[in-house]
Amino acid sequence: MTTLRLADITFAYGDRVILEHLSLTVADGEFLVVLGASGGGKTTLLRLIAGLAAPTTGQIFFADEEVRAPSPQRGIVFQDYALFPWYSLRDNVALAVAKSEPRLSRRERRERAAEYLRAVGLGDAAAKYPHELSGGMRQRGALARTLALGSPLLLLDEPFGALDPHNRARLQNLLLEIWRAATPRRTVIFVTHDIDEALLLGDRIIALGSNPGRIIGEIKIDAPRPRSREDIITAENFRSYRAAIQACYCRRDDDEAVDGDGGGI
Amino acid sequence: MNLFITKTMRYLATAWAAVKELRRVKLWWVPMTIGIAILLELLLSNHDSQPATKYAYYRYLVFIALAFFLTLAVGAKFFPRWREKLLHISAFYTAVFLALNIYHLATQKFGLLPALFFPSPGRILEALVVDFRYLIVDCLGSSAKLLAWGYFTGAIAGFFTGIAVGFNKTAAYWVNPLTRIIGPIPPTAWIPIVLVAFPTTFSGGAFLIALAVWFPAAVMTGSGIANVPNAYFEVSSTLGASRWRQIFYVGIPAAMPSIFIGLFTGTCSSFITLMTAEMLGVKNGIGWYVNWQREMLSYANVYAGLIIIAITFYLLITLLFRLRDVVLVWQKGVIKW
Repeated sequence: MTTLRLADITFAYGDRVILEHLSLTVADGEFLVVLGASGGGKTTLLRLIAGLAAPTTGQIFFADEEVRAPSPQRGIVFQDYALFPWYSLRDNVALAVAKSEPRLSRRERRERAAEYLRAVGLGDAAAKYPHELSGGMRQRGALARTLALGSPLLLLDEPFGALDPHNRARLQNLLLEIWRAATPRRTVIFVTHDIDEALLLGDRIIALGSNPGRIIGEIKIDAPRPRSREDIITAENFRSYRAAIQACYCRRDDDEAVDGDGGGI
Repeated sequence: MNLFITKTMRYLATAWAAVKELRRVKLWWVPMTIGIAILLELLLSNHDSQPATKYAYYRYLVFIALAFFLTLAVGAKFFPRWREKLLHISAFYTAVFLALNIYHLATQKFGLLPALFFPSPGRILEALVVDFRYLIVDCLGSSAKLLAWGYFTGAIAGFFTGIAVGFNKTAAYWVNPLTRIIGPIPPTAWIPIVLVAFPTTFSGGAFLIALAVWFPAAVMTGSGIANVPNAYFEVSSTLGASRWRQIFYVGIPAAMPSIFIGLFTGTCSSFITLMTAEMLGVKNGIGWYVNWQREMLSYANVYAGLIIIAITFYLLITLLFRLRDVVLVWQKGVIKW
């Protein structure tokens, strides 16, 4: 079943076209990865879906309703600026709980918040303020807050981009665990510029070309989960997926002159 | 000749050893300094330019101080915490009592400074003790009432002005030029107008103080809110926060550090305005007392008033710092100021 539909989206700042004639449908419970170079309009795409910006032309439908403004139905995790520094981790999450479960008392909300924090492995840090936490912990906290919102659609904007490889791997596993454990599964749109990350996480990968941003390729990953990190590098099927993705960008490079950042993949 | 050099060298070595010894007994520096002060006070006779006081207030002070610091020094042998504290404050209080002693010698003992304008410490203490009740209950009470009225009115008005300007474009359009024109005028410059325009000097004074606090509070609240990264508002809108929730859960907490800077600036300028208002128009309060005693040429009382002012303002600023530490606990370690 289709839950999200983008119908011929174009987005421009004045003369600068960021996204052009972009159409996309996402199925319920699908884990979609949007792959693209930095500055290629990936974040803009996510902001449009979240309702933080409106497309110049075209429409976005979520659950058969047009997207016009941000809503807790479409939770987003930003790469940075995620947590409010003036609230403790628990209060940050409790804010989302207040929205998803408004009937709870103040104390119950905090208890629910603590549960979400335990789920991302931050049970002991609930009372801490964001500045007391490492980058990885902060990103876990942001994830917990968005999960607490109970949104059927999760938008993740390079959420692990600023983390060291070790923490990144741990958080990728955590995200997959949480996504697979929930019934019904949440729909996830995950933005990244890292092919390995895309292959590890996605049911489907959308390759986004830049200047202007548009879909230049689409690969369905038919590999069983959980996927091993080693397979992604060495296994035959993943090598062909990787080749297919790289081919999308190479073809584009042949077609037209590309700005410096176009070849970042 | 050779003998002379040897002797000098030996003296120098002894002096150096004494200095090193002094560093070793840092815990006893303050009692030693006070001891010297007491010795000089007892041995030297008073200069007759300074009028005699009824009681020997200076002696009481130094003896009490000696008892206090001796207790600390002895206690330091038993409590490591005391020792640490005393080692830390030792140098500072040595300097304090040294300065007090020098001033005492220059006034009371040798009469080096004009006695009219530079009363001895004993005379200042006498003025403080004799007028204490009047200073605290009448003068400080009256000043506190005026300051509290003006300060809270100004701070609250400034806070809401800042919020309006920070969140509402229409409010910003109309209010910003106003704050830019009225704001930089020193509040005390309004005194000639305010004194005739207001029914009582109290209400006029309170208005001036309010004005002094309002400007920095409004500007810093407004700029604090304007400088909140838009990402925070976006995050809160994806969390489903309404406009009002965004103001109270995002804008104001995020602007708090800036608001406190405004309140600090406002506090300082409210003190200035309070003193000036009391010296120029309001007919009571601690500022008025200082000015009145100056006209009477009783400078011991002027100093006594200044000491009360210093202590009070110090306590108020400390209070504000404490409040900030509680409210901005989330900032601890991020920003230091």
